[in-house]
Amino acid sequence: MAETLGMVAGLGILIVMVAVAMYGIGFLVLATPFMRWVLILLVAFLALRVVLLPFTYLSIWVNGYPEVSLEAEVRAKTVFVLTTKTVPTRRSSRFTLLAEGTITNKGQQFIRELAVECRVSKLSFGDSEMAYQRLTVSVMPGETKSFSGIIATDLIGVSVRGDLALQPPDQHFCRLQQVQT
Amino acid sequence: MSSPTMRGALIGGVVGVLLHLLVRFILHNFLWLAATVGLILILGRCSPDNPKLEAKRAALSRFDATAVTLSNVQAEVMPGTRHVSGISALISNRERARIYDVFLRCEMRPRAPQQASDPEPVWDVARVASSYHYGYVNPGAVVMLRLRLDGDGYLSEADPQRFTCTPQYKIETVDLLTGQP
Repeated sequence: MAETLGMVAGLGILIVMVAVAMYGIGFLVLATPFMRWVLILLVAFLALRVVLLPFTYLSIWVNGYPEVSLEAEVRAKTVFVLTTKTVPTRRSSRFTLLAEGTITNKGQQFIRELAVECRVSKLSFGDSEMAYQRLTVSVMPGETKSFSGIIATDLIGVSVRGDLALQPPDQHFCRLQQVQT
Repeated sequence: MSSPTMRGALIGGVVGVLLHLLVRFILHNFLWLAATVGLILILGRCSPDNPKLEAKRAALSRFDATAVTLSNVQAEVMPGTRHVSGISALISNRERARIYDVFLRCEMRPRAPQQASDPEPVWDVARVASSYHYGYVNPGAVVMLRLRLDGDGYLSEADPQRFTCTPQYKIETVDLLTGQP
């Protein structure tokens, strides 16, 4: 009984503390003019941008646009060599797709991650399944790095006539889907 | 009170307080918030686009689909049966980018009755998709595709001479930026 009372009391104190903290912070943020000042500043900034729009059209800033690198552009500046193979997954009737290879960064940006996408045959009638995996790499501009990793461990496999158990996928195709800078 | 009930009450309380604070903030600063949203909309509509970025985006979407053509389409009949099990065709890629995940979408028509006693086919046109080609079709390459057809019931009644197919594929858009795979 005393233990239950203690738990209820503790819970009550916790609820009160959370409520006080939330209302307290909420009061400071909402009931003081601080947030309104922030909003007014934001509106002033946006209004200035709107006022300056005609000058932008006059091409004053055309050369001042930021250089935006699309992901595809970074990927286009890589040399990607990939080798893949399928092996049975341990303690499972499924199959594992392993990948290893090298990536050369011929661009100007640091590459920290790459994503490999694979299409793998499954069952029969030409059916297939997709597998994706992100692999961590650290490739500085001009560098070539090796990588290896598991793309999938739960591939179904293909059915072969005369064999009850599913066999390793007979076909697969992998590509570099994305690089993260 | 059970633990899930208590947890639900706590979460409900916290969400309720947050909603209360949010609604109060919106009501107190409605005019400034409306001005912010309005100015953002004006900027979004009237701002000239970054010309460099637009040029890159345009390059990524410059792919002439008519440069990928299909020829020598032939339905393959399973030996000893009348069942069409696969399709073969030559695919030619005269664009600058590799294509992948190639498959064929086909239309088929039924066999004409061989004898007067044969029943008239109950269908006119049926559509079927093939399996995927595992690999790239490089620019300038002509690749022989041999693909399986999905286990459609109409395939046993289809006339192998009356298949028309169109290629479906994805584009390796990075090649459009570099001009070569």
